[in-house]
Amino acid sequence: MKIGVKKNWGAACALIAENPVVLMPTLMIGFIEFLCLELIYFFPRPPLMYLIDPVVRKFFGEVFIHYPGNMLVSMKLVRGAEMFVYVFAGALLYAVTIIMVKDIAGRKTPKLRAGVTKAVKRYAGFFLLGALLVAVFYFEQKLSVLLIQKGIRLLVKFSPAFIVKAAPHFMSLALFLNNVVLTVFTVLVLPFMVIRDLSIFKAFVKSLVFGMRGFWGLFVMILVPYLLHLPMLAMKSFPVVLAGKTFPEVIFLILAADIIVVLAVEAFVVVSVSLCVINSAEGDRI
Amino acid sequence: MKKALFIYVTVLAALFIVLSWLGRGSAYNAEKVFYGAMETLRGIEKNPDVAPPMVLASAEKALRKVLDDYPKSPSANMAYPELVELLMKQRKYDEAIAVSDEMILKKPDTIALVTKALFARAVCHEKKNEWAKALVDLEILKSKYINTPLGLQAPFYAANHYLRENGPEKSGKYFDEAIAFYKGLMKSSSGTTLGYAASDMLVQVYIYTGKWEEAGMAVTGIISEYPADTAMIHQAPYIELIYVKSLKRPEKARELFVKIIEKTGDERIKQYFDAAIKKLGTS
Repeated sequence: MKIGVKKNWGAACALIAENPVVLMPTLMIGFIEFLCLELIYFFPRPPLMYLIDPVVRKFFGEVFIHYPGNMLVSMKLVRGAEMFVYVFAGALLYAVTIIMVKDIAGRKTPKLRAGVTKAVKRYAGFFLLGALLVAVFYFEQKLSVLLIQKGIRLLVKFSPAFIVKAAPHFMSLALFLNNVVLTVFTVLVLPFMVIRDLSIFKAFVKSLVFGMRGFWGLFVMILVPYLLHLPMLAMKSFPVVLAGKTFPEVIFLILAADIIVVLAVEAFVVVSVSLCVINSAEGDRI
Repeated sequence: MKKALFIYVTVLAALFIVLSWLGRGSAYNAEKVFYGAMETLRGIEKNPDVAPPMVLASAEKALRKVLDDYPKSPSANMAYPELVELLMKQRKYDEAIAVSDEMILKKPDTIALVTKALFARAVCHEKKNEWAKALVDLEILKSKYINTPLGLQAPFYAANHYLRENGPEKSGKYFDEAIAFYKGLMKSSSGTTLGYAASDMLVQVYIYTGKWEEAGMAVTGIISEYPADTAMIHQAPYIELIYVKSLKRPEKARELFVKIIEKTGDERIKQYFDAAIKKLGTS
């Protein structure tokens, strides 16, 4: 299975430029995520403190409800909120994007409301997919951290000083690449569910097979846009150092920029891979 | 698309304004201002000799803002002593006394703050050559707040003042007074935290005045009477200073180390003192 990466990117860019309405669902996700970010920013102050402080105190400790400790716990809270948003609304809204891309490819006028109505009918499936993907990425990352840490420890043991110093950066880079590889095998589940109208299980299997057959094409197609996310990831890896050298609120600025970059990249990737599925022949045993 | 974007941004901005307004005057905002001031002070501490007046003024302004805008927040309790210290560093003794007075007036139930204010006031009066006034504050500390770290230090501080002013010969009687005071407290509060703290102060006064034999006896007494791990570890440097470096009697230090090993149940402490005994053997 050969994937024309450049051609696909060109088509995705043209589609977005001509039909910016396909970005509307992503904009909605962005709005919900920014809302969460804002609530997390204000949680140590009244009136939100009465609701959130006891929870943070119980699970993280007293220091994290005070300034600047709250900035550090905010990163974890935002990550949790992003997972929550993805499960409850993210998968659904990306499905709406894919429905609109399908409509455009079928020379129909993309309509947001119609897309939402159509997607909501299969909400249970998208919810399940969201939950599954979040769980897969979460546990896979935990396992990867464990393995990469062991690998880095071995590397540090037999390496010169400059490599030891760079070890934390290896960790971020390795996790990033790991994430991209996992995305290669899971990114097509949603397009298959929406475009080919497959069940969640069949879509998973197809996505896995497609990922194996067209690995390098998909890998490049995902990796290059995701490289835009790398500077954010690097900054998020050293929040204490960064906050110490600038000011604690910089963490929130990074989180805000991160939301924008991630959503822009994901919207582009979703459109790209949707076109990829649409352009592959219906009977193609991918 | 543009309309939706405008609506979303407006909603987020409105929510930001509402939540900011609702959170005004909160303890969290006080923490932010206090943190800013402390960051500035940390910067000054790195290079205190070349601290620009503007930086000092900005730290002072931030600390005063915490006190004026958030007087009931926990940050105000921390800002008071920091402000007093900052003013004292700038030799603004009158202002430091005024802030100390305010501290006593506004936080009369917070013993830690009251004692800090009294001690700072005494130091400021001393710097202004008003020793009689300083002595009044030290007397209050000694009589009313003796069970606090600063209250306990008051007699030693007073004796030290006479040493600086009159020299070692004429200050002897003041140190004797301090020693008598700590001895009395040791007996009256034997077996309590205050009794231990008084014994520890006694050791310090003996070391300070060069009474090594008495210091050694006091340390031996502490190990016998207060066999808590933390108390015994605290005495280790004193034992070395008194018996090894000053009195040149390492066998006595060894004896005390063995006693500590017998009394402690903590393996790490045993290992530490085993190593200390081995070190004594080779020295």
